[in-house]
Amino acid sequence: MSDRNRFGDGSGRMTRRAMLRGAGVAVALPFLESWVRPFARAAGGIAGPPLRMAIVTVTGGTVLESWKLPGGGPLGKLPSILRPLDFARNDLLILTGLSHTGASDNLNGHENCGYKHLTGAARVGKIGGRPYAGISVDQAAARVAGRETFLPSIEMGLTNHETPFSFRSVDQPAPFEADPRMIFDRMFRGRQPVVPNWKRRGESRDAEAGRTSPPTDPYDRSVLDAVRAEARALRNRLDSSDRQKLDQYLDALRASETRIDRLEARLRVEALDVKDPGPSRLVDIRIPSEMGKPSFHHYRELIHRDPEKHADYIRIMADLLVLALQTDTTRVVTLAAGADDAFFPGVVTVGYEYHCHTLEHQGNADRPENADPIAREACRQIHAWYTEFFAEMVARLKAIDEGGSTLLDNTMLLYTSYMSDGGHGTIDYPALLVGKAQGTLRTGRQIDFPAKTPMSNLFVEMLERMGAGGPGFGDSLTSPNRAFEGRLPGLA
Amino acid sequence: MSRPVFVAVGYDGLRLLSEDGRSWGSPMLGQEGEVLRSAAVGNGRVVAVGTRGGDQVLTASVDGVKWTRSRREGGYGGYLRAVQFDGRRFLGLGGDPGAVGAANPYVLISDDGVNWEGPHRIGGKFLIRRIAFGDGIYVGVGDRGRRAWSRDAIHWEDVPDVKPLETLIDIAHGAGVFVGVGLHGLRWRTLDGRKWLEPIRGEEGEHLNSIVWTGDRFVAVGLGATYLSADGAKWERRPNREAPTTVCHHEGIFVGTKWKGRLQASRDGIVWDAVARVDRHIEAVAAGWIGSDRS
Repeated sequence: MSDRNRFGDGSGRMTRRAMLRGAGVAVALPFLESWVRPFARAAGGIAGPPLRMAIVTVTGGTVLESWKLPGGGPLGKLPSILRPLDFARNDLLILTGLSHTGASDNLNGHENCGYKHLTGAARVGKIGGRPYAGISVDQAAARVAGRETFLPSIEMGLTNHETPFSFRSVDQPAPFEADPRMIFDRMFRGRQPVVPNWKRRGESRDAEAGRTSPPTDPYDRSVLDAVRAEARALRNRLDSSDRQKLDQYLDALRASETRIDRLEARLRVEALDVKDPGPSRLVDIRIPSEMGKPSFHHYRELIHRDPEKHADYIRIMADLLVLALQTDTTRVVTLAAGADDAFFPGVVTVGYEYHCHTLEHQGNADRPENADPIAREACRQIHAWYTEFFAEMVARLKAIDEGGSTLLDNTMLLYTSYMSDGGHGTIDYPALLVGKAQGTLRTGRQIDFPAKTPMSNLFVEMLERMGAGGPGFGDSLTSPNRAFEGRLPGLA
Repeated sequence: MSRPVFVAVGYDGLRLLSEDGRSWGSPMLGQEGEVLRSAAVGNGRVVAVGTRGGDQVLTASVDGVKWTRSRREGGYGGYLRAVQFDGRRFLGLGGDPGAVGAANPYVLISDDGVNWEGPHRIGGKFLIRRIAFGDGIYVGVGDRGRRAWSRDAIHWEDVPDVKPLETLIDIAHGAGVFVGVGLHGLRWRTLDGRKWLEPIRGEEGEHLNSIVWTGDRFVAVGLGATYLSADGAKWERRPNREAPTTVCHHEGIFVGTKWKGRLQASRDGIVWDAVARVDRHIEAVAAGWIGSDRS
């Protein structure tokens, strides 16, 4: 990675002066006020690794009869799309019947599905061209879990303006970053990747170090103190309008300080990890130089045309996801994989069409038997192909030892799609949970819920496990099809 | 002086030629983004068709070296998907593959691959993808189970009440019978395109993507198995490995292609040898005679 993005001194130590250069970003982030103390709690107060949440959402719906088993119960031979996950069969929990049935205003089929996908909002649409939906499950989780990590959440992949899956609030979509270099820089700007030593972090002396160590750069702190003192003196001489502006400035300054404090504490703990890291090896990220030449935009075009490039890209993004969770850079990641506009020659080995969007439409109908079977089989092949890479990612998570448990054990991973089928469907989504979520999910099964059970019920379950539970989420309590008091019974 | 030719076409206007199916010449390229979807050999020349953006691309050569290329506006609804030779003329098949139930299929006709007549709208909701010609009849198969027959390739009559689940991917004619193939080893024969005899099912996942008539048998090549039959009724299943997804046959040699840019050759359609590879995807292969005194 480029040195220009390094804020620290190479040892994982971040200087206050360096952090101030990033203050503009810091001010814009949520959770600043309450960040530092929860982080200290995470560093010392919780024994063992934390629970992470990741969502991998593939494009274009799926072929349901090849995604789920004919009936619920213990998993035997997996359906063909999920078969690459056979090695992890006991870590899988297939959920069927989950649906979005909210209303939609002024949206095309893809937008409708994209807005509802992770928000479960009762109503989605556009007003004056601006989207509205509701906070998405990943962002709701990040509001809590994100207090304790370098980044609250990461949203990455190939989704576009039509399908902004993540919403920070009703009308604020969270942008997805497609360029793996940008993601890596964002994750490790000013710090170096290190495997957390969760055992040692659980010991109180590290937490104490996080709370009480002196700031890393007394000079910078003195500058901030001097600015604050001058501002207070100035305040007494201002009228009310200017005082308000000054107060806003001071608020921003305070927020920056809080973030700096939090990062300093975090980096002090990570500096100890550098000397005494956790037992696993860091995921080795090698981003091919061609992904940036002449620009990522150019490479993105290649991804759409060439499944070999597409495969390379998904693997890199999956590695970044694993690395983000492994290094506790964030505990919430959403990865959008695949592209409706992509071509899949070689992946599709039947018929004569390889364009995903064409296949999605031709491969769907009012009933599967009325669809074009060649296109439907092609869609099945595409989704089995996606699952191969997802399975590779699961294998990596499963192979990472976090000191007696694996990263997969400590992750709640949702594998899904933003449409239930290629015909812009919202009924009976593909929903596969992978990982036992620290023993809070009983896996190795398929559970069939009644048709049109709100997908939001699943999000409630996920949020509760992330410590962000509430009385409801999305349309879990308001849907005409509400069920189980907004919950999903039997997951544990 | 005529000579045998195998041709492979694909992405970025890729064209490759071989005389024996094993030794291939240097790849020739067209414009970036141009996809040649299909090729045919007849009347002593090679013809390849495809698309670039929403336009139709048509190219032909009598020697495999110098090519005449033309472009027709397709309007993002008139995609050209296949070209076939009926022994006398080249037939271009197209329509809008993305429009569900409104493909507006058509046929183009040419003697030389340079001057084209049409499009002749052939009716129906769905594309006809492949045609076989024999005994004065054309039989076509296409999307969502479409099966149709014609005496002139312009006026078509559809088989009524077809089921999408019985969609055929490819069709060939030989020994007085037409045989179509499809998913899960489906084989289905007809004598006249109107009345279809009992379909034969194969094994799950053994999709048959290509069928050719070698002069004495049908050879249907699929994922994991090759099916052989002299009459389209009795079949022998032979496991295959590394089978290509698209196949042609000429003078006892099978040539096929699979992702990415791989060319394979076989003597029997069962055992395949990798013979060449290029860095662009090959969409189709075709074979015949090139030169002045054979068609």
